[in-house]
Amino acid sequence: MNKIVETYSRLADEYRRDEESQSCWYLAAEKALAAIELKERYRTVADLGCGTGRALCELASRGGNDRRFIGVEPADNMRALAAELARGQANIRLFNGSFEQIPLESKSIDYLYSILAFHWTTNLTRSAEELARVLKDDGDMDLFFIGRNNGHEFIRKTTPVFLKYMGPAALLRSAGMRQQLTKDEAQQLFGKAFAGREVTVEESHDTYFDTLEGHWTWWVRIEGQLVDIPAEKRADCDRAVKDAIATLQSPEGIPYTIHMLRVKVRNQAGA
Amino acid sequence: MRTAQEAALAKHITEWVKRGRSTNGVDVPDFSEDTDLIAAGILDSRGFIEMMLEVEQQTGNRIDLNDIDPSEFTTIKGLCRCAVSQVSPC
Repeated sequence: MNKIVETYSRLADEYRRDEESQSCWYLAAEKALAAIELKERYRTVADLGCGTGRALCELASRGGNDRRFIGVEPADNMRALAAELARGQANIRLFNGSFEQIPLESKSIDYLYSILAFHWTTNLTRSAEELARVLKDDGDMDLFFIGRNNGHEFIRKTTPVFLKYMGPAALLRSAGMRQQLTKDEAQQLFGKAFAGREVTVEESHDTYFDTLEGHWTWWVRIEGQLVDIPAEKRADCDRAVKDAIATLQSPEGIPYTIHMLRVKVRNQAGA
Repeated sequence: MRTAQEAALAKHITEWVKRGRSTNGVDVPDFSEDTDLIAAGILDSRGFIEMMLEVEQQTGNRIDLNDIDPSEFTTIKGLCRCAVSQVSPC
């Protein structure tokens, strides 16, 4: 199991608390969820990297019982929370799996979506090919994930701190755990994987302002990237990171800009 | 003594950084081969990965980060010195 998946599983309860805290990530996920339109013809819907199942259950509750909803999530404890949330909703099934290896039949899904998970894939090409494999020829897909310039304010401030506490090798290993594509790179990746289909990539930059404590509630989301910091240095590192982030304080609060990419695959007939 | 290869590589990487940052729509503050690019906020960790790949592509050598002094790693001059002096092929 990779470090990101292991950490998400270990900290699943904290992750759920972050979801409840209305952090910038929660708001960005809500915005993505609101953009999803369930068309009548979608009989089988899949959420890749469904996490605690919040979006999946929300869509299933408005989707009707004659429609199947499938959640795929590699982190065991996140999947367990999703199962708990989905209890009583007979049209939901959950599977252990990942973008790199989707446990679904080829051409079996009418609508495939994912919210803020794809950037954790360990293999972009294979994952894009897997998505193309499971989607029906006339299926649609919406993939929301972070882009190259995500969190640039924080990253600029915290990179010197992480370099000090992690060293160059671990820092670059950590940065490489998260895939951050430009719009053009995403277009190229998915255009190739879904050759012959209509693929468009949209991007947005939304800046969210919060307090230092507010931002700290979502730190659990990057915990997997920080596991190489020696335990005895962790408290000092956290303090230095907080000090660095605090320098971003403005009258509106501390800014964090989410650079979101949305990859849309559409049935060319447009139905 | 700095070699001609080091100097040429440093010049190429300086241009690469300027070009890349401009393309991203980010203002590029003045910097030199001795500027600490991370402390100056010119590159973040991901930008560094991209720069390292460019250096490795130019030299044909893989950079062993375990052998690098962090203070050398963050300047173009230091990184190019390490890249040219390390001899493990990619």
